[in-house]
Amino acid sequence: MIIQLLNGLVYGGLLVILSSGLVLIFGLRQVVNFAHGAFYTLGAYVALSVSAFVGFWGALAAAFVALSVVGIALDRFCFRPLQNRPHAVVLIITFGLFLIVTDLVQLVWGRESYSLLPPPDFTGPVDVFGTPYPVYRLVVLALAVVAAVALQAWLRLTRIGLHARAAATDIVATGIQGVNTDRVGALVVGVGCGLAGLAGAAAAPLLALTPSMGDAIIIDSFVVMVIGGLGSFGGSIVAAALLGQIQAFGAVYMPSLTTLLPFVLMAAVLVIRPTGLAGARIS
Amino acid sequence: MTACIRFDDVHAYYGGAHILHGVSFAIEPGERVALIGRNGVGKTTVVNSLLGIARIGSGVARIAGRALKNPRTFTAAQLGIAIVPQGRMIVPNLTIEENLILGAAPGRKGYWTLETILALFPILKERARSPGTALSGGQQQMLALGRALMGNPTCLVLDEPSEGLAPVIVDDVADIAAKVAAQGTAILLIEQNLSLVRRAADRFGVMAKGRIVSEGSMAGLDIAALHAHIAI
Amino acid sequence: MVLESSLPLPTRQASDSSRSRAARWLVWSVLAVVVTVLAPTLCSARVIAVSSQALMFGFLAMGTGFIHKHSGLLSFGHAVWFGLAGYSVGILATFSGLPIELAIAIGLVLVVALAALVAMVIMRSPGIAFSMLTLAINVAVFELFNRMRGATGGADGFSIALPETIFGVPTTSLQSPQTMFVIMGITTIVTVGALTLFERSHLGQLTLAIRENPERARFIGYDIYWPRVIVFVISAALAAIGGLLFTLYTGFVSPEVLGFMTSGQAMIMAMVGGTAAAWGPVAGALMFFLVRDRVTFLGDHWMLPLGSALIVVMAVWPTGLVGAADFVSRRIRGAARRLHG
Ligand SMILES: Nc1ncnc2c1ncn2[C@@H]1O[C@H](COP(=O)(O)OP(=O)(O)O)[C@@H](O)[C@H]1O
Ligand SMILES: [Mg+2]
Repeated sequence: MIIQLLNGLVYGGLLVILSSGLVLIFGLRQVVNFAHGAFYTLGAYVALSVSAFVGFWGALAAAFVALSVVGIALDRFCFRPLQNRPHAVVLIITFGLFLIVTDLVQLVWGRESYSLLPPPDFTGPVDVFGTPYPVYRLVVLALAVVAAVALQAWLRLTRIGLHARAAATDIVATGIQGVNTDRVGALVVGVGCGLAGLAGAAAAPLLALTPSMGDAIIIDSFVVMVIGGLGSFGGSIVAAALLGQIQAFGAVYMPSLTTLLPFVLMAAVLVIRPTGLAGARIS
Repeated sequence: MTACIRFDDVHAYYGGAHILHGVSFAIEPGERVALIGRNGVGKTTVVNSLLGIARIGSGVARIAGRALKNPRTFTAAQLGIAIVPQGRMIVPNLTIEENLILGAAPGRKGYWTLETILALFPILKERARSPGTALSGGQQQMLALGRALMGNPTCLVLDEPSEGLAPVIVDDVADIAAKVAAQGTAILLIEQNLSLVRRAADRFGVMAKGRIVSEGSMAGLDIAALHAHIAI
Repeated sequence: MVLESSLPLPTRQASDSSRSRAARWLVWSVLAVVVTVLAPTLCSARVIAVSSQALMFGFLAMGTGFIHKHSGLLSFGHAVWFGLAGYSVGILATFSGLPIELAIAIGLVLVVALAALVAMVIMRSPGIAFSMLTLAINVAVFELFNRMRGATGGADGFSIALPETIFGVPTTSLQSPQTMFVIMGITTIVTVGALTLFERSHLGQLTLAIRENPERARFIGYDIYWPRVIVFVISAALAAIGGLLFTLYTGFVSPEVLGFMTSGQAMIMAMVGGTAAAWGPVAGALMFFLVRDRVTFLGDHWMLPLGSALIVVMAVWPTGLVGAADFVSRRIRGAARRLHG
């Protein structure tokens, strides 16, 4: 029981990091980044490659920074120039980017699977209410909490966070006030993609690294984002926690149905609240 | 002295739609100028060409002597032009105080600070933590004015500030415009309410069909003739 | 009042121009039929085999293109309907003992009914969630069949027991590329024609108006929910027809055709072909398959060039082949007019 609960929290934590990035980008550019799962994968591989030189924590930071740079470029060369195009066009372009990044990972690292060891201080099990539990998983959970709190603090307490929130609501009104919305856009998309890289790096020691490792979890974060109400951090945190538990308990009690459960949850939420948990009701 | 805003034969477009057909005017520092005209003649488009929302096809628009080439929405504010846009554009998910702080983005220091603005608008001080859209129309207009002033602009542009406001509140707008002008800030007032124009401007231009068709000073103004220009 | 008249509902065209359009249609259809019938004798067997597969996936692309055209939505999950048609007909034909013709009919009805149920849920949420939802459903269904042990063979798929003849056509000739190419060609031509007629119908024009401006359509008093559900169902039915024909042709069904990459490829075919006209996705599918058949030197690394091509098309020429054809034909007509004038 407690194991499943914790597993659910850990997975939910990863979903929180991933979907926070999606929500950030969506808020500012009204686009769902279909390449987000490939960025997660790329983050894991970047961490794999640099961990030998900079250690695990350095690798985590490197994954965040590397994917932030990718995100800044994505905003500069895709989202901003295509700001006035239909969202469908931009969405397809991010799908194209998903194909490219996935293939690049295969070209650079090959198809075989790798594993990344957790940091040496966190390899063993730890005792949780009498049950041994891999301590690194708790590290991932803590990391997710720290990331979510830091993100909220950044958005709520800093001047740039204020500009980002304003731009996410009304980018034109914000620009008229003199906020350099180009820079804010690059920063926000950069942080959003960086979070995907961070999630990938943090998840790397939990599973095998393969070029398609991001496919399953990105689907779940899409589900989280939809259930949460698309543009809402609060909604997606609740949805991530819920989905994490469903996946963890489903894997044990209804293994054949786990892949359908997120969809059932989603259908249930959408029937009751078409715009998601935190979404405004449409009249 | 360089003009705060200067248009030289500006032709502006939305996509292929040609809206401004050669607009020229200048606003010198400290001047109070009104731009009047009926709905749809292109008054807001004058503002939008400063913001890059309307494209300048030919002619030159300058802010503080600098010619605008592909301006972004934030260019004007960073060059000292604060705009109170038509419809006010209060950011709904920010509090009143946050909306005001947003206006400080250009980072220019001067007389206007959060304190001086809250002192000028007591209602905003009372409700500093409630969402900007919780205010009435008139209060939102005050918020938009306060927010624009937070940037300590050299020129304040007001696009139809009296639209949808009760006469008493229009009086307030006039008072505030007078206080702003007293700080030496230039004002470009886009209006259809002539009583406000008369109180808040020294000079005016009348627009029709994307052109400035007549200009004059407030002294010896024939209000009846003006009415003919803007009556619907 | 102004709103009413600017809603692009069917307007009676001058009979003269509609007659000339009908004539143009006739010419193109006859031409397409002639090409279809002659192609097996003119082209290499390999081109014919690849093309008949392309036309099967062309139905999937048509479904994806249709929903994009009539609702502005991007589906990343239409392979579900393509694959489910194969599975339901395959399962019914192999295990139920029903005659194949009945199995086909029931199988298609089941898939369409399921599509209607799904549409009724996802059309309630805002359009932006649609792509994510369809993708999520696709992955869920794929995993379901991939893991399902027993008769359907899990990840390996299973061979379908087909009788000697299907609708009077010997199964062996149905499964030969030459015959199938002609069947595919004719069904495609008929379907393209039907979709073009749909576009001109009241419902077709209404769905286009809803796509342009849902608020306005609702304001005028149109229901905007059911027309979108219907568009989804039609698009799923198109994909299901493709899946059915593909299954009969191969006599085999596996989760591979259900994968979201299949959906993604169909979306690429539709976009590269262009969705403004019903033939666009078909052209996109033919191009996709014929190019992929030639470009073998890429090996496994086809996603990189495909993704790059997709980005370039969307950024530079988002109307696809349909847009290009339109551009060329307008140029030609313009030149002709100048010559005459
Ligand atoms: N975003 C836009 N795209 C196309 N045309 C526009 C746009 N905004 C305004 N217009 C047109 O430009 C003309 C001038 O509009 P505007 O400058 O807003 O007028 P005013 O502010 O004087 O009422 C009007 O005919 C209006 O319909
Ligand atoms: Mg206006």
